[in-house]
Amino acid sequence: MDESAWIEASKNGDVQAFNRLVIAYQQAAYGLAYRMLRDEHAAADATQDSFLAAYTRIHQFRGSSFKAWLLRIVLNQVYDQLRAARRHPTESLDTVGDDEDAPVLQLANGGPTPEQVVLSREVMACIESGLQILSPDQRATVILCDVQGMSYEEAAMATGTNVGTVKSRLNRGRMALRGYLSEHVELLPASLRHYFERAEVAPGETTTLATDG
Amino acid sequence: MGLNFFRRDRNRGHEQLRESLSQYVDGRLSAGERAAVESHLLQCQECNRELQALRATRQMLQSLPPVRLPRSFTLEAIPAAVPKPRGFYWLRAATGLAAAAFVVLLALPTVLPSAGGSSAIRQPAAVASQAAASEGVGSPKAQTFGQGAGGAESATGAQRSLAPAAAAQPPAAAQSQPNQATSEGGAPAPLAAASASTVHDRAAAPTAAAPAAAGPVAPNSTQALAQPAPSQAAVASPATEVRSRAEPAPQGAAVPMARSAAGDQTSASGVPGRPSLFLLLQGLAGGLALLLGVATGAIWWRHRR
Repeated sequence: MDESAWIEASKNGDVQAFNRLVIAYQQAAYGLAYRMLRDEHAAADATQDSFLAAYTRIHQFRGSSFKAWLLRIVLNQVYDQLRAARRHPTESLDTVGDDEDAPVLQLANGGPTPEQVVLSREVMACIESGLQILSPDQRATVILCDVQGMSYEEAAMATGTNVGTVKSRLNRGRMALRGYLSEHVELLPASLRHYFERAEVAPGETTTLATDG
Repeated sequence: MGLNFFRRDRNRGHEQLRESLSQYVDGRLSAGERAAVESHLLQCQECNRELQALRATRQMLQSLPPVRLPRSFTLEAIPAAVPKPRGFYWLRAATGLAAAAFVVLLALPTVLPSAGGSSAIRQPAAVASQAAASEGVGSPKAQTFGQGAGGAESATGAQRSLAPAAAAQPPAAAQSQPNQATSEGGAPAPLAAASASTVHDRAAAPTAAAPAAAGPVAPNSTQALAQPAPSQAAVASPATEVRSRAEPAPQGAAVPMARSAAGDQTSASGVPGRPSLFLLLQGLAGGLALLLGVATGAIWWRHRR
């Protein structure tokens, strides 16, 4: 996969070369858009608009990470949609937990890697719902770093910020999600349940995790 | 109070450390920071629990399967995604300029009588000969067709239609043919078709002053082609009408044709080389406009898909 050759050809107007980039990254692009928006149509629109924008702006891309550059375009589209949804609150972009039966998530081919665990449908839905309680910035950072495996630097490029901001948002986002999971501990796999059960808290001693914004 | 003070202080320390836990699990702490965290973890059960919860959260996030793609997002499904090639707008502007130049060159002799060149000087004699013979209008028509109508067909058609009529007008036919030959080399332009249509309108319906919009070439030219024999006779009388109307009319098409025809008439017998630089310029501008227009259209059509 010679990505740089495809990028160069795309700069010369080769649509077929660009489409190979689309095929390589559409999963990441749509996945990010869907987890941010929780609406198939909105996410598909955002993804298609993002690839169109990327094609017309491909001459602006120089070196570095194409994935991060592309996902930055996706996030801009997503934020536009979120702003529009806030102006028209009747749009159901914020519905949470409505996909317990929806076959939106597909099982990975060939089993989990050593870092992964097999998740039941319920716990998947729980995590996806948990992501929705995060602020959009925290949610984007957690998706980029933890779900998609980006480094801090790549995530900084994709969010248009710096590494320090990524660290802070990632930390707060993870903590907020951890708090959410503690409230739904019964859904978690047995091997992990233990970590989320709240320890006895002595009076006067508070844990401030769940209140982190 | 003292004990709580220490507890609050410890909480603050815990909080700071917990903010580092995230980077700790990502392996992004410096050696010194990592050592500090690890030594604290050895002593603090609570922070240990937090570390485990953080690790589990991260692991579950990493275990999320990919979202199902509803469809492919490749751009071949979106035809409008192809960007226009560079220089496209330049090409269209150049086409417009060439076409405008053509129109200006047509109109100039009307606006500036002196710009007609030698043909204007000979106009009085040409007018007299026009009144006498219909060839004065027949040849401009032929010239117009040679310059304006599409391709060889109408040119030869004009030649054919003129042939019977030219039996009575050998000088007209003789001079129209070389004109057609030279102007056939210049490919017809849409605006030249307008001049063909205007001449046709004058010939067929002297009362109508048709606008110089680029109308369809074929009907006008074929109609005019079909009518040369009768209209030439009919034109003999309105020849003066044509001449007088052509003067004030906004489209200067018939006028420069008539004038240059007159100029050609006299020059055919005398100096053959001088017709006007103006005709040449018109032909060039028209040809250029047509070539650019065809090129623009070809590029646009090819990239539409």
